[in-house]
Amino acid sequence: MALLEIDNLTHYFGGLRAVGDFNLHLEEGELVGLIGPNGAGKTTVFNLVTGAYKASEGSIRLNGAELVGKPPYVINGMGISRTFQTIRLWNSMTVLDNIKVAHHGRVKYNLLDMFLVLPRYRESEREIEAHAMELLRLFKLERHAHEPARNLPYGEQRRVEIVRAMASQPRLLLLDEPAAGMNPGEIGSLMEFIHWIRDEFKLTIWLIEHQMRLVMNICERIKVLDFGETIAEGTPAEIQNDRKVIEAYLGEEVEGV
Amino acid sequence: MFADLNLRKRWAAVTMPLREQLRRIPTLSYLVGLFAAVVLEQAVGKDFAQNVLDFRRLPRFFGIVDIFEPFGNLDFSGVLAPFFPSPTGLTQTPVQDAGNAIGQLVTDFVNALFYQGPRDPGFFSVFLRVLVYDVVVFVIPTLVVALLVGWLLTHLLRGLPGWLIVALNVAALYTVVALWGGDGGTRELTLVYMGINIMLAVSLNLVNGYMGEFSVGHAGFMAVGAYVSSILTMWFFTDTTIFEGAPLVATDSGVVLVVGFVVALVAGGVAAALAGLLVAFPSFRTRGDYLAIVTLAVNFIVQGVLNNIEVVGGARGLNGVPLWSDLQWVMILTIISVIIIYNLVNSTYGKGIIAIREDEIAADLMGVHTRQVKLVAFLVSSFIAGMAGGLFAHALAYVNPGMFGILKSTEALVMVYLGGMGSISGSVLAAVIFTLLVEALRPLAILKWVVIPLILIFLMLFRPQGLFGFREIKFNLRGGESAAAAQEAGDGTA
Repeated sequence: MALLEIDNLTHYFGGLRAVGDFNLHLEEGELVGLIGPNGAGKTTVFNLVTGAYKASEGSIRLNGAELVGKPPYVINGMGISRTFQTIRLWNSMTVLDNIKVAHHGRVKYNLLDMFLVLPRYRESEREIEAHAMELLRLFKLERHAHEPARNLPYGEQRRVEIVRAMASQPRLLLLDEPAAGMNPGEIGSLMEFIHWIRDEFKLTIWLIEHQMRLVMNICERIKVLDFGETIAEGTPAEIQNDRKVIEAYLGEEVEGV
Repeated sequence: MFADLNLRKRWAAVTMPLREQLRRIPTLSYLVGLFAAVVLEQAVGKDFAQNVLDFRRLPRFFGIVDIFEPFGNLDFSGVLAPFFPSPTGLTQTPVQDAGNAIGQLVTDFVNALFYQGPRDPGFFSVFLRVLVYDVVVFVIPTLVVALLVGWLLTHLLRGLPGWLIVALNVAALYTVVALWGGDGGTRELTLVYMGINIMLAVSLNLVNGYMGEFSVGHAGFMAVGAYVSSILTMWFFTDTTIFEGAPLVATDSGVVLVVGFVVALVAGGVAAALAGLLVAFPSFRTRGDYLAIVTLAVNFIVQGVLNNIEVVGGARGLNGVPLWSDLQWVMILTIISVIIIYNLVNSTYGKGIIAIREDEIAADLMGVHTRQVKLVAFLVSSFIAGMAGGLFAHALAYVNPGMFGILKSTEALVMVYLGGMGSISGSVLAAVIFTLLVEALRPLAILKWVVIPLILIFLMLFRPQGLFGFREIKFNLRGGESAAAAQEAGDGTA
């Protein structure tokens, strides 16, 4: 059985069909790309999968469990985590606190434990802090642990966002334009970084990206959206030569020019 | 200009070792010092004030209440009155009369500043003597004793667990305040209001500062708590005509009364928390300005309902609430409230509240159960406001719906913004300052409500983040290296 099964996913914003009849099966450990021109509905698909929007039609299943209709925090707890197109860290909080709050699903105390600082509270907090620090160490961000997130340089903030997404120990990681705003050198190291995460944490990664170099180099399979409809699917080589994809990106050829 | 700068530098250089020393000693030593000062005041304060400094009585609240008393004689009514019809008819020369009144006012003001008679010294005289009194009786003894015990305490505290040190500090603070303020008079009453204000400010800060919503109806929850607890204590423990005469529980047993009061206060808090649901549920769907309007509406709904229930006196209110809120009760509940809020916002769970403020959608998607967290924040906030209301009712022995209007809500807001959003210590400090300000400016009568808003306007102009916006006062609980120095050292090694 596939890890994530999306069947006939359709979503309307009012009368607009933002995503139409989207199908995708992700196998455990795959690295899949989702591309398409601006406004094609890529981020909408991510929002549907993570529960930010409720799908109008269709089904999304993680290991067979239906996700449509579940609130975002439950879906997050079931093992899907994501980053955002524009950085959405909690800016005034420290980097460590950003990671700790993403552990909300693991909080094992009730209000009384918390108000009275009972052992169960202290134990749970210690566990969360230790796990958060370990993640920061793994991603070589521990020296920033006590800095407010907003003080970090852009690239580091992007990394913190990925660490935060890892805090809930997801099985599927959705990256929404991880290379946005990066220069060619940074994109190179990002590619290694994404591979490293997948191998280190045994993850399935599904990413949206406009940087073709990154997508074509690291994705094993690519899906192309345009105006909410799937126009192509296949290996990077197949996508690069697909007529419909070229049309979507560059426009149709005009006869007689 | 430069000479001034030099002097300041030299002064800073001379006092440097002392200030460094003061920074190194643990907070507890200051409390011990304060304790010594309070004992000193009780022993010789009155003699010193009356015989040496020529006060008529012990300066009230460190003299803060006395400073503005010389302005109490100013009469502003003559300025505008000539322009309005009076029982004797419209005056023929309103401009001239008003001019005379202004002239008189200026003369009175100058007199109030300097001298207005042998029994009525002017502002500067009072101010200077209050300063001398405070420095001699409080500042110097506190600092000297603190320095003396500082070294010893640093060693004693070494190795003690953190919670024990906090407990020691809280106990010391409690002792000092109880000793200084437990006079059963105005001092105690002011401290009681202060504690209630601290509870209001801290609980409102949870919603407005930490969660970033804008609640403008905090007094509504206070009203619910005040009425529910008053009804319970009056019904069970007092002879009242409203609730069928004789008390249900006729007892003099202290234990029963204490338990009864606790139950009544908690019931008031629970009722207020239920009222908080009226705001919490809309907060799932709306936020910002729109939620602010909901909170305002809840405040008016509560007031309106209370105004129209004849059993609890309608607009006349409840009379004969037992006078049970003494300093001890207020202090204990204030300390508990502050600890609860502190523990909440410093836990991983409670930091979800801050995450909602910073980016609610991200919080939702990163696994924070935002609805539950909002619910908890609103419930805790209104629960504490309800308890504060219960204490308030039992401190005044009287409640009516008019007390819990938009003005009271605004007072709570003022304290939160004065202290700074998202800062518990800021809110506590602001509540203390605000309570003292209200007391100190009492002689100015109605002018008080010109001066206090003015202070707020200047605060917003020059320090819009409040006294401690998003920061906390750092206490050097263990002594030794000061908190700032320790942090620098930590940064250096990282």
